[in-house]
Amino acid sequence: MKTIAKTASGLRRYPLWLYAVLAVITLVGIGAWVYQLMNGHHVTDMSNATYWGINITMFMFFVGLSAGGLIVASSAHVFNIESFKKVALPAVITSTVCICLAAGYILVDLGSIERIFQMIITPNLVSPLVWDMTVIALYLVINILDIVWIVKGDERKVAVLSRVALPVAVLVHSVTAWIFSLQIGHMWYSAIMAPIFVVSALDSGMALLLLVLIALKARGMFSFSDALMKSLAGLLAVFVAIDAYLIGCELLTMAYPGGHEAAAFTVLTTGATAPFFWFEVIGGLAIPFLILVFSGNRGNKVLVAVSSVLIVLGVLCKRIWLLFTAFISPYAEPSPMVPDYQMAQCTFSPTGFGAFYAPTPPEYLILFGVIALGALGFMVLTGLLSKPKDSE
Amino acid sequence: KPVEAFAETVGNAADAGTQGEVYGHCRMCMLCGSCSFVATMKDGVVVNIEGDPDRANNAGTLCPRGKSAIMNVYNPNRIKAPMKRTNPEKGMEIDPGWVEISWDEALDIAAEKIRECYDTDIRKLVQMYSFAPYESGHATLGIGLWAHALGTPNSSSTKGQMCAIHYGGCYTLSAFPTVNYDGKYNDYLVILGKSVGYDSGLAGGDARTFVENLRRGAKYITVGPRASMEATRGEWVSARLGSDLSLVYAWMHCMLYEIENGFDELFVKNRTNSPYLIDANGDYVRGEGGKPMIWDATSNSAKTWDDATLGDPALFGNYEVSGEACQPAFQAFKESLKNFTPEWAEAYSTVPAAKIREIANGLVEHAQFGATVEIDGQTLPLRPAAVIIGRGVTNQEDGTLCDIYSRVLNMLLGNIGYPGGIISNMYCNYLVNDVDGTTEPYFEAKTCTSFNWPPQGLDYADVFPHRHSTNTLMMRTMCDPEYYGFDYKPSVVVSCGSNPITVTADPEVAEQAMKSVDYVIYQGCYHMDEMAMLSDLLLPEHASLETHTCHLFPGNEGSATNSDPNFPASNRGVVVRKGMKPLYNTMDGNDQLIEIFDRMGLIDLWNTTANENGCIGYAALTGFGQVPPAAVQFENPDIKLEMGRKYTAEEMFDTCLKSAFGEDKGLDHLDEVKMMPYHGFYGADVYPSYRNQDVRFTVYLEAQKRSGDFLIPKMQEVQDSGFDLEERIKYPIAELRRRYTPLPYWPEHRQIDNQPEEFDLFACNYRTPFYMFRLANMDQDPIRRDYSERYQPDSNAVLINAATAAEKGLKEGDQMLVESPFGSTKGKAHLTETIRPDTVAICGARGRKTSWMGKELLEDTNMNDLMSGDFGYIDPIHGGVIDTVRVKVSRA
Amino acid sequence: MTHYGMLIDVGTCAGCNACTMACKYQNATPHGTYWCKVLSGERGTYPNAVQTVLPMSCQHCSNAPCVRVCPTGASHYDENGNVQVDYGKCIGCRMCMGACPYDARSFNWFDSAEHPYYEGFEQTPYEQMRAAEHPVGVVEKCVMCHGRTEEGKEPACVQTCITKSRWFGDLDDPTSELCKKIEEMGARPLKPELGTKPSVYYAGLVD
Ligand SMILES: Nc1nc2c(c(=O)[nH]1)N[C@H]1C(S)=C(S)[C@@H](COP(=O)(O)OP(=O)(O)OC[C@H]3O[C@@H](n4cnc5c(=O)[nH]c(N)nc54)[C@H](O)[C@@H]3O)O[C@H]1N2
Ligand SMILES: Nc1nc2c(c(=O)[nH]1)N[C@H]1C(S)=C(S)[C@@H](COP(=O)(O)OP(=O)(O)OC[C@H]3O[C@@H](n4cnc5c(=O)[nH]c(N)nc54)[C@H](O)[C@@H]3O)O[C@H]1N2
Ligand code: SF4
Ligand code: SF4
Ligand code: SF4
Ligand code: SF4
Ligand code: SF4
Ligand SMILES: [Mo]
Repeated sequence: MKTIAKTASGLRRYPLWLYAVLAVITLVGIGAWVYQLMNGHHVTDMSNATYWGINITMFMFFVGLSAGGLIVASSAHVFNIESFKKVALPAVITSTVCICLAAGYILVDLGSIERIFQMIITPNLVSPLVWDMTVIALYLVINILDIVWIVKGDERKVAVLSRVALPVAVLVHSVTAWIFSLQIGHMWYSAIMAPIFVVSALDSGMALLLLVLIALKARGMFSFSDALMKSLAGLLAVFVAIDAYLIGCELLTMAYPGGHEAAAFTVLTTGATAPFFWFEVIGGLAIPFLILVFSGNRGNKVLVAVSSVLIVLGVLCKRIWLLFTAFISPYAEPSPMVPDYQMAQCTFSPTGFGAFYAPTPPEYLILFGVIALGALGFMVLTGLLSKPKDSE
Repeated sequence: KPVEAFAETVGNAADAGTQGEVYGHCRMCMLCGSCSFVATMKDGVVVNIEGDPDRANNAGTLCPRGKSAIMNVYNPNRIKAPMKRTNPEKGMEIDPGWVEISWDEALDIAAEKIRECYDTDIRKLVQMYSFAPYESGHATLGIGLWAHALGTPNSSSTKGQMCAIHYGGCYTLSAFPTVNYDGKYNDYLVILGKSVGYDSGLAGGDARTFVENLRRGAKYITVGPRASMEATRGEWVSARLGSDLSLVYAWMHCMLYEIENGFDELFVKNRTNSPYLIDANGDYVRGEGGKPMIWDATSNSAKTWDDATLGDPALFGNYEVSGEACQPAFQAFKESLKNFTPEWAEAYSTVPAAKIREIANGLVEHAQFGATVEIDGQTLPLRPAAVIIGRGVTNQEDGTLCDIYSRVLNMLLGNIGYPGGIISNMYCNYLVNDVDGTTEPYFEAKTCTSFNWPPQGLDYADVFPHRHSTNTLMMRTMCDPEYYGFDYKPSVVVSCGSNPITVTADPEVAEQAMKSVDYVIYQGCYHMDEMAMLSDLLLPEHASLETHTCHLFPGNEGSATNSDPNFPASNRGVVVRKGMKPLYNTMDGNDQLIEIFDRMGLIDLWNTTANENGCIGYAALTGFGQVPPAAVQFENPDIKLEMGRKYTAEEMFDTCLKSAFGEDKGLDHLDEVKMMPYHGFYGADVYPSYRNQDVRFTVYLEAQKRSGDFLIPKMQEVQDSGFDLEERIKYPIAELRRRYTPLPYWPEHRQIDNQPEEFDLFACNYRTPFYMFRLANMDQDPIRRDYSERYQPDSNAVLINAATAAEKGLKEGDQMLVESPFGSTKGKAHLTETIRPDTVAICGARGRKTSWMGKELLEDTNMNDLMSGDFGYIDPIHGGVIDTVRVKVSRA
Repeated sequence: MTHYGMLIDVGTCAGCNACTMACKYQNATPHGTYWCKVLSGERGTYPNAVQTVLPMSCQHCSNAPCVRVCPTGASHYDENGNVQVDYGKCIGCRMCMGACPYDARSFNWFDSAEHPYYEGFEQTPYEQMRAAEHPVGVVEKCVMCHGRTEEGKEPACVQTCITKSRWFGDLDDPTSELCKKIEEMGARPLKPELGTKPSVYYAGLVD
């Protein structure tokens, strides 16, 4: 009786209509997914030329978003940063929800989800996807244990776990990067991809965490000191700078030889993916950095929130350009399969003419459905687990 | 929804019940049985189709068209049962209100309508034919012959006007449909406006020959507007569209004026009419028995060409015979070429004079005058250099001239009918004029000896006796016969699987013509095409895969002899097709005609016609008086179709086979062996000039002049009588007179050069392996359409040179508008370096005028919309529509 | 061991796509899917321009990136050294599509039984008969015609090649016509620098 009451009061920290709206979006999303299962991925705008779409974009994005939380929470214990410990719980919850969302996007993207068990019965141990499944599963377990132990207040276990959690978090992002960067034939093929993924995971994850904390504080569910915000924002500025640096390195290497990779560079800077690229560079890196680099601004909630939103959107844009530029300009190497003139005009690819892609309504419905489900999960978890005394 | 209107009869796929394999020969392109196939059946459904590996011709291969036989059978737009119209109003989108009727009723109606013409004035009957009956196998009588038998002058090929490739071959080599090169020995081939089977993706042997020749080092030189696949593998010489005649003249100029030993003198003296003496009028100087005379330089006297004492025939000089001044024809020939220098040709064609000379020298060097080759113990001249031409140059306003002078050029090279040269591709024997000692022009080139006024045939055959087809003119005269001088009006049209609306030009005129008659019967129709939309009665026939029929495969009828030792000319023979059980309530096209004749009470006429002409192969040619071995004949006088008896088509074929091959060699036997050789040639006999070592070829076109001499005064008489013939034919009679020339001559008066300035570009048509013409689903096959949309950048596109496109502000993929003085079409721009900057090109025959076979077909890029088939826009002799037009382009 | 391979002479290929269509009908691939295709292009500038053609299908790599990345082992090597997909194991993740540097793979985007060729009409009996061969949601590619080769026939694309520019045979048998031709024509695989060790060789490539 008591637990029920407690649960109810926990859940009621969010307005009922929000649950209702999210539930509806989720259901519509599930409906769209069932529709996709019945009709095949034909209902998406993906094709043999653009065989991955927004699901995979979102997968990359949410794997990254989940990083910030776990890293902050683990650092708190590994490096014994007391101020971080205060936000450890919301941080890990965020991380958990995001990684579930990431996995969810992979599941809805599978053509034959009914055979998913094959990954467990006959796994191919050299497949990055098997690594990813393993490491994400591990990561999820760590997150859940972390939540349990933090809630129980089992400091010692949390401290031990955190020592494992940090490298696993780095690994999750690296493995996700390897899914792309080990594809020898494509412009994704790059050693720097994994570090880039890790850093952009850090900046977007940290930004998301800041937003969550600011929001929860505003709702009075968690306490979150300005000093902590300042130090997290400082860290964020550093991550953004490293991210920008790595991207710069990658682009220079791409453009410098003037060969076929430069064609991809052209698509990126002036072609179909250019808007996403420039948004990231200006809105996602330059502006937030210029804001956060001044310590005064880091204390300003509004500026920190704006910067964080920009950084999150910037990284989303990066996922988009990263994925799709490779489809528009498929080859890293001079290819006998695509004559030069066709390459330059981007009207032709071995898998058919013009490959650019625009998600269809079902794809969007699934996309939002998954997010809504995640949001529901987040609300339930934070509602149930937030300690009233913190909110006082 | 259109399908309901003609799908009440449901398919009987399930109970068709065939298992295992069915087989046949493909005729989707006009290789006429070159390729045999085996189709795999499962529960009555064709599940795959492959080349028959047992047949040497296609050696197990099948081209991309051949494969689409499956989609053609299952084409949902097929007409599935006999039907008649209930809505009298006709139009491309107007529902005809089809009602299904029984075959009995349908055939009765057809018989009654035709019989009515027969009983009153048979000229009122208009029959049209096209490739559909070839594909489905009722070729023999289905193309013109039955109408000839009834006596109407109005039998017209709708397809042929874009296909005026026959005149030159028929004139010079007794070759129909056209002339091949000897792929086995040729080392140096100059190709003008043609595909020799590689560019067009031919499975019947030509493409393999091409490749084997490449491997052994043969050189192919393609002259034309674009870098075709053939040009890619050899050399591309970019020339202005429609300028080929200037090149042919310039090459001959080089051979006669510039290159030492530039022509095969022995051949020219002994195997052509070059030494024949001509008088001031240009007529042969004739001696005893009317035989043309030659100046014998040895004895210094004139002798008839067959005089046994003839020593050295003079080619040059001026002589006097019986007091009359005369000269060897060759002297006049050479003089007529005097001004056609490479520099002159460069100015017109844009081909550099040096390149023109290089090719002339290449031809002469490679021809190796005097060289011989040993074939099966026989010694034959070896002349491995030749010029070959096709549709790209014959369908020009000077197509006749170019066609015929390209053959003459080969005569100068001495390669006619010999290894390495050009040969007649049906393995016909030369038709000989015994008096003149030369080949006698035959089929459509047959010398004109009759003229009627008022005109008889609605195709204006009286004015264009050498037409291959003038169907577009017929469409005009049908709309207003009186204006064109006819004293009768057509009332019944029977189309034997032919569609005059889309095949050539001016669809509106054809539509009008079809609406102008009382009754239109679409016999052997196939699907709801434009012609069906204008018909009153539909008599659908089986799909090709559903027929049981045979055909005389005339030897490799593609472009080349074959270098494959397993593929001798002996492959000439009868091939069979025994397909699956028909899906719908359709009827074999031959059987339909037999039934109609029977119901008209004229079955004896049918049987007699078959008995006299044969019924397997191209018996229609016999209508022109000479019989090339193109149809299997009833050879045993005891085995013929009996009078008073109605045979089925299968029985008719069976009887004919037994008569030709023996009583135990009927259709059943053919079904087993699939191919029976028929009068094939072997070894050295493959070469017609070896088989006939006496006949002379005509460098001097005396017969063509004779046709003009006969025809022009008659036309002038009509003109003088007050009927303005020149206005009708939109062509000056004086210019026409010049065209009937025995000697090279440059026609100044040409449409293509005289169009308004704003039409600053040229447009031409070319075929691709996917899109040739419309036969056999070529434009509808959804698989082919899908693939080409994805992977073939020239599909539904307009090829335009990148520099020209930049000038016009066009980018890759832009929708562009192409306008000619006659019409317009749209397509996406495909920028390429493989085309001349002054030219745009559109592939294949696509685009439909009715949406009843699918709306998307209406949007296809349509070359024919740019052309005109009006009087004045055709070659004035063979009647071919000029398929090169002046255009302007813009962004759509 | 047998190791089936192929040789294609792009110097004599006419670009006719007979092979494309032969493969299409042999395997009744879904609408829009082509295991075999011929890429067309061009080289040079006017008037020294030529067309280029490149028949493409799975290269049956011996060191196949697609096999390596496949999480379930659906993509595997068969007894003939060729790469095959076991549809019963494929989860449709499309990792292999990205991994393949030759764009040889295609996904079954829809259920073939529900996508008739002729728009607005029912499926033709031909399609009905063969739709089940291609389950929705899996990745497919050229199978080196294993059904045909078991019966001792050549692959459909090889048999139908109108210019006889394709050869099929055993790469492990140095006396085979295939090996001799590869040697004689100096053929090499596409993108050898990637180390994928394809079983398909090309002659007449222009760099
Ligand atoms: N733009 C352009 N136009 C051209 C040409 C070109 O290259 N380009 N080529 C020209 C030349 S040279 C020619 S010869 C003509 C050819 O002209 P086409 O129009 O190709 O030949 P048709 O004989 O009219 O046959 C076409 C009709 O036969 C139908 N058909 C298909 N299969 C069967 C069957 O089994 N039975 C029956 N009864 N019918 C069937 C087809 O659906 C089609 O409607 O086209 C000429 N027109
Ligand atoms: N495989 C196959 N073979 C066939 C046929 C088929 O359908 N398939 N059809 C048969 C039939 S019905 C016919 S009529 C013949 C026709 O066959 P071809 O005579 O070979 O006709 P096209 O293939 O249209 O080739 C004409 C070429 O001429 C070029 N051209 C156009 N205008 C000009 C010009 O002014 N000058 C020059 N020099 N070139 C020009 C075009 O680019 C094009 O490549 O083929 C027969 N053979
Ligand atoms: S070349 Fe193709 S279309 Fe022509 S007969 Fe052979 S298989 Fe048929
Ligand atoms: S799509 Fe299928 S074959 Fe490809 S990697 Fe995934 S499971 Fe393997
Ligand atoms: S070509 Fe592509 S699909 Fe085929 S084996 Fe190689 S990597 Fe795999
Ligand atoms: S080997 Fe068979 S499956 Fe592979 S491309 Fe050729 S025809 Fe298609
Ligand atoms: S069938 Fe042969 S010639 Fe034709 S495209 Fe294929 S490989 Fe080339
Ligand atoms: Mo033709």
